[in-house]
Amino acid sequence: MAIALSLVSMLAACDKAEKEPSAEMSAARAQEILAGFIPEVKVISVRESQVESLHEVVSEADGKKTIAYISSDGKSIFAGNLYDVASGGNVTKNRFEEINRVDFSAIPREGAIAMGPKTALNKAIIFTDVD
Amino acid sequence: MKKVVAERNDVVFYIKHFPLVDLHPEAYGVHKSIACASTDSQALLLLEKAYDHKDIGKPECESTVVDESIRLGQSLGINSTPTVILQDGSRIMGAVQAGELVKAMIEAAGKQASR
Repeated sequence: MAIALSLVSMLAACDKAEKEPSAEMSAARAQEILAGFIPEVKVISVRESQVESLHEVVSEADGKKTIAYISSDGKSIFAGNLYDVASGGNVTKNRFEEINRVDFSAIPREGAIAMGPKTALNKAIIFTDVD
Repeated sequence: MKKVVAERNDVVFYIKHFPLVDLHPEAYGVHKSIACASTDSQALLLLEKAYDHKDIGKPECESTVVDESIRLGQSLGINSTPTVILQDGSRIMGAVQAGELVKAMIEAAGKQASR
């Protein structure tokens, strides 16, 4: 019930905003919109997507990053995979991998158990739990 | 992984402690015991025993290795195990076939080299 009420008030606020000339989706606005669904969410970035009027929003909640798309009018959120017809690529998945990329060489080896020769050219770091 | 390392000398895995303490509170103590091993080969033996759910005894040393490793993993946004970080910075979550893992490692190493 509380969610329905907050959604209604959010939509009402958006109607007011529509009268103002603004095609931009600011991080603050995206934050407000997403917080209606995930209260503790924190918006990391907002940018144009390849779909007109859909803005790609990268956010984080509970240590996990998510990509969602919010319409310019703030009335819709799309959470799913966007595919590029020309390349057949999964735009969302590629972007997800990009935002989760880490600097491999910056990860300290101290405290890690090396399995294999340290001079080996092909390396991987594995975070593991024995259970 | 043991097989892979036995069969080829061009791959190396760095295993970092990341007990999911909220889900597996006992795993924390087990990892602390493993971290007390003085050599990698000893640690690997203990790790294998632990995977087989054999008792490896209580930690015999004071060490912050496991805590630091957990903090590091969390800062990288890791929240499930196993999570593999490849040389090009990408990650694989969940168990994969050894052959597939090696293939991914070689591909990632190649991408890094060409940068």
